[in-house]
Amino acid sequence: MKVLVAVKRVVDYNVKVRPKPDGSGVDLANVKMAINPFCEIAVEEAVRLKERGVADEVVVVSVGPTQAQEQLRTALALGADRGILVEAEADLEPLAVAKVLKAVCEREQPGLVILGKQSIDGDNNQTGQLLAALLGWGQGTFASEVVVEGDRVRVTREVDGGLQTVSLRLPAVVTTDLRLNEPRYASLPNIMKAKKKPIEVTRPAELGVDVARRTELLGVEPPPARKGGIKVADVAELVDKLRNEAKVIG
Amino acid sequence: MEDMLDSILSEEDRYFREVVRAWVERECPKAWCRELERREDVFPQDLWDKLVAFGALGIGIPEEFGGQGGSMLNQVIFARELARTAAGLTWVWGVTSFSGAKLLLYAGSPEQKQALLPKIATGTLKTAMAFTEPGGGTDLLGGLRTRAERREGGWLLRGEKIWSTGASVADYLVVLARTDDAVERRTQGISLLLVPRDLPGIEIQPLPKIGMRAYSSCTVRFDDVYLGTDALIGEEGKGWYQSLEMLNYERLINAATCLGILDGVIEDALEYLRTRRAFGKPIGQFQILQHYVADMAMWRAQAELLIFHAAKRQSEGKPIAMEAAMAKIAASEYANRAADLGIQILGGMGYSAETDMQRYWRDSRLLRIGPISNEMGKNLIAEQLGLPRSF
Repeated sequence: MKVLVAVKRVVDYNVKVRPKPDGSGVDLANVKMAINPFCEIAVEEAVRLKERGVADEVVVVSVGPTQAQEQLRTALALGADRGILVEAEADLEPLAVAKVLKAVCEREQPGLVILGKQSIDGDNNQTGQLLAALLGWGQGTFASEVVVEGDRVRVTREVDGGLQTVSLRLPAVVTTDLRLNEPRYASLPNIMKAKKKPIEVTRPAELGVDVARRTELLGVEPPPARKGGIKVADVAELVDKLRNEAKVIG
Repeated sequence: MEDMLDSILSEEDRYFREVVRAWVERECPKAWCRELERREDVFPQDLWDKLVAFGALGIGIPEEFGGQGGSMLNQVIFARELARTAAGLTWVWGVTSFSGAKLLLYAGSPEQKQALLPKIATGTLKTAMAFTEPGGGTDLLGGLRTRAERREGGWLLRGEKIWSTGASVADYLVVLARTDDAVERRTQGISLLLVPRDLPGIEIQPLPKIGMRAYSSCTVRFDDVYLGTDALIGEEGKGWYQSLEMLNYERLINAATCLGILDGVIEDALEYLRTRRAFGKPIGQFQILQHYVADMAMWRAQAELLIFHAAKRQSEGKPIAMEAAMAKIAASEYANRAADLGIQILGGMGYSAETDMQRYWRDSRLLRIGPISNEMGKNLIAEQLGLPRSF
């Protein structure tokens, strides 16, 4: 079985991001970029499936700028077999990414697609679900366990208040939650081998996908700075302020 | 500031550095290393186990011997990143996987390499170097009294070594011993011997010291120790020459350790400068303290360029005698001076054993003395410049 994994280039999770002065987006100049942590978990899961003999090939795909090749190399160093970069300059919205991934799926015919549940930059949590709907495949989102059983995959989902288990017919789409696995550290030999693994570069137009935006970004601004607290003289004043200023009690 | 190493490191080297950095951050945090170091003469087995699991001991050992492959650049990168938190405990990795493995790689017989390198790479075998003697460290040859005599079926070893770091936990000691007196030069007639630590007649005693307390440096006595013929590493009588290249590499890896210490010192100093307040403002606003940390940053930049330049040359097969000496001297002086200023910046907290500045200072203090004293290193540089040998 072939497993397709989607990975996204995002700002490294340790970086404290700042909006651009004109509010047109997040300032990415000289900022450390990395593979989206949920995508890394997706790669790890696919590689484990391959190590268990369930998958025979792991193909990793990224839709993004030329530099997203670095994140594909990261995935290859973790054990993926080959990469596909769908080069797109503009910041694509989830629907456009899902359409591109659908085109890639139709060409690659994977038995299973694994994605992160969301990227830590946009936090949209849409691409996996949109992709499954576009393909007409089953979806198991927020996975904390993935077990392939014959022509089905059993996915344990982290839902509010507990765990839900679904069984999906393959091919299917799975999105990863934080507790699915702990990604390995790439070993030096695998880093060197990743250099020799192929990365195919294509563009949305070549896949016949229209990626024009359907939404408009109006602005990006930091959350308002937290105001300093005040000291109250007694409990009566505290209750008064909670009731009449903060309006948190009736 | 732009990464000055961009022109030296390949994309793979940079990614390797990122992986090591993430591993160190998660697996070897400073507070944990501080606790390990505190336990005098208790080998930090947990650190060793983590190094093994990460594959660190195989870095620089070719894949054909079960290693991870990679060049001197990878080892320098690893030493630097580990030393940022582990400081001198970087030697727990270096003594076996660097000094021991390097020597076997360059001088060992095919059988020795086949038998020992895979074990080193997978962490099932530790080595320690036993070169220095009570009678001489800088004048190693002048102080060399340990002798090995040919006997039926092997060697008889007699003598005493000092400052053999890791000897008390090693499986094998790499011993420098005189095997022939009838020679023209004192650099001749010396051999390298691979000595199993548990043989009868070997007595090992840890020495108390001010830094790297968890990783004992020891005196080792050899009282008529019988060795098999297979104990000889490389060629009989050529031990000194076989060691020289390794000693250059060792200088470079110690320079990288100092560079990591500089990283740790600067990190902690900046943190304190930003958060500690005096006279109503962060102390990082005071000019004299700003100058201290600016000096540290300049020292680090210089050390970084010297070290990576030398490592790059080595990985291209070029000689590095002068470069390694320069890198080692500069980096150890800078690291120790920076740690000293770091203590000054932290004030009382810098003198406290609950922060890391004192550990950086103690560990970098050694590296001004060993594995070659900075004064002796300068003699070698002067000689490379064409001046007559001063010693």
